[in-house]
Amino acid sequence: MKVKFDINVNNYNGGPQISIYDNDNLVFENIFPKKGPQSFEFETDSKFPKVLKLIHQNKNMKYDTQLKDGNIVDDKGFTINKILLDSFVLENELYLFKFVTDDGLVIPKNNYIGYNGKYIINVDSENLLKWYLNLQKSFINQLEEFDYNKFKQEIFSEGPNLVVNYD
Amino acid sequence: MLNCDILILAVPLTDTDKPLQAPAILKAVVEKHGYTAQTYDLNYELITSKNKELDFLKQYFSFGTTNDHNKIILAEDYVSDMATKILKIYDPTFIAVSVFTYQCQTFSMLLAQHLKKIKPGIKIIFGGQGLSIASGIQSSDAWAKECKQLGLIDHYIISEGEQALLNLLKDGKGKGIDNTDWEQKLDLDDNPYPNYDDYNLEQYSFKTLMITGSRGCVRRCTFCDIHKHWKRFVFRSGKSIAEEMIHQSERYKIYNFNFTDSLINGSMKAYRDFITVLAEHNQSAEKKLSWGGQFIVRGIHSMTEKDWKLTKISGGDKLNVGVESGSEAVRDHMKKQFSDKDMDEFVEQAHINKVRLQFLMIMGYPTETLHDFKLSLKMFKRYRKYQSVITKVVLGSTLSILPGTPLAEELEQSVQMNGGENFWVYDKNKSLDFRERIKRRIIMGEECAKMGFDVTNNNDYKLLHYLWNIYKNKQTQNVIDLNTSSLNEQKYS
Repeated sequence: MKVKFDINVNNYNGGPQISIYDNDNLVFENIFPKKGPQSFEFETDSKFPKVLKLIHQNKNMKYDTQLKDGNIVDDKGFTINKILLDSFVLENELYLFKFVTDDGLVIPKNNYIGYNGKYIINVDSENLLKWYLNLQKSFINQLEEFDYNKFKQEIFSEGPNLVVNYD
Repeated sequence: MLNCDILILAVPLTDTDKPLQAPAILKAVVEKHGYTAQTYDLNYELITSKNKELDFLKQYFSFGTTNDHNKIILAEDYVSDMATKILKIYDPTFIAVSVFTYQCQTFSMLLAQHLKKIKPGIKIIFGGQGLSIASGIQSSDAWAKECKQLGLIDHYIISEGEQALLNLLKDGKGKGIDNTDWEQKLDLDDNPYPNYDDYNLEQYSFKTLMITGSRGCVRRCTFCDIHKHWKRFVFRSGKSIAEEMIHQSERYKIYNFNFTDSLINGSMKAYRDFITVLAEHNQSAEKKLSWGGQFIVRGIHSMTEKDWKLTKISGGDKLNVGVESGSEAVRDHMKKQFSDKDMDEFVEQAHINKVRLQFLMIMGYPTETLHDFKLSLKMFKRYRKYQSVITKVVLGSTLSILPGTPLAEELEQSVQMNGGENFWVYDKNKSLDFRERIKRRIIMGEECAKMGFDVTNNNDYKLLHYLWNIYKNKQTQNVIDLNTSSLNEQKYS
């Protein structure tokens, strides 16, 4: 399986160090000293289920973030913009995976990797395609009960109301 | 056990009570060339089953997902039982699965898995429109390719299957087989009539057969991508269509037909020939034929009073008409190519001849101003007197700008898509955002209902509510957000 990551790097103090594990096997490791958007890719086996772990490490939280007047102005870290697993694109789905910091804090719905920790993609199916389609369809189960009057009220609560005189 | 070269299956889920046409067409085609074929409609078997978990099964097969993971085993068991049952009845060399939409994908994959488990040597082919749609997958055959790589199937056929399936049976390869390089068939008159001999037509609650008179479309409406799929508009002679209907009605004792065409009256010459032959048949036939499908508005200069009379006598009924908007300016931008005068003449003639119509509308076109919207309301007010023939108004949700449509290409620089086909804003009409379009849709639905029209509303509102939640949570819309499990919706979409 070909795996490709599109990331956007913040390279303060040398840039982030990224390792990727396929289950317990290290399949990729690199430091990204250049700032801005970039890609990296690697090959790994196509045996499923598997857990892919992207590990951000060796960031010193004291020195690797630049602050000015209490605001972060530069950082060592990166945003994951897109992941390709063979021909399957993970873009909107990136927010469905969790990031666990080295301190055990779980950060959901996050694609900016600013702490040391693990971004975990759990392919919990023997079939990549089936897993991917299920992932895409996860929104369908989250629909709240439909109530026409409530919906109408919400839609008409903002913006100018239409005049329906059409004689 | 029935031996055959190929067993062709219709699989869940397509929400229809009519027999699906694809297996019947393919059976006729391969048999014409000396192969033996059987068909089986697993879709209808599921829809009409008394299974206690039917709702769950339909949901799971459509979307491949559920909140109740304990129930997945029920779906697996159902498919396993079907695979066992089929292989007890039939002994085919090939099994071809008609994947009509992406909502047939889950069942197809499970079925292939079980068939291969029971009989590893069986050769499985996937084909149909449902192969090509899966958001986020990079190429149009990625899903099928993946199925092949996983060893679930041996081959797949993209798009038109008639010639490709023959080539596959004969040579094991060819255009459109395991690739996207398919070629459109230009002579439709050459096709044999669909063979429904294996269907138990008595059991279908809707006594209607599908018929194909043309593929492609004569128009290039800006919101539609049909011309991307069918590069050419090809049509059968009117006589041949009428003869097929007469032949099929005598063979299967079914007298109502529904066209799969984008437009029945795309070629007026073929249409005239068709209604002339059929009208003549109906005048003397004991069981009169009737037919319906998608129709284009034509003024009286193009579709004459005589054409209308023949339309009625030939059995024309429930014509789905793409009216789209009551504003001529909006329709001009859409390239619908009919004026208000054409429209008035068309509806008047339908009323005089008692030919029933269903209006298909588009809510919130990029150039639609408030004035244009009011013109649509006024049109319905004007047509209240024709309500006896305007039997349904299909308002749909709101316009989605589909990739590959002229609209998407022409307005590329001036439309912000905002993460979804339904969420766009047009730079030259910024006030018409998604919220405003939903407002107009709600008003149109309520006003049309007040005027007494039969409006399809509830499912459209549910879809809009769903899309609205995606929009306001700044999520991204993708193809699976649009549930098109109903046969008619699939035709229209």
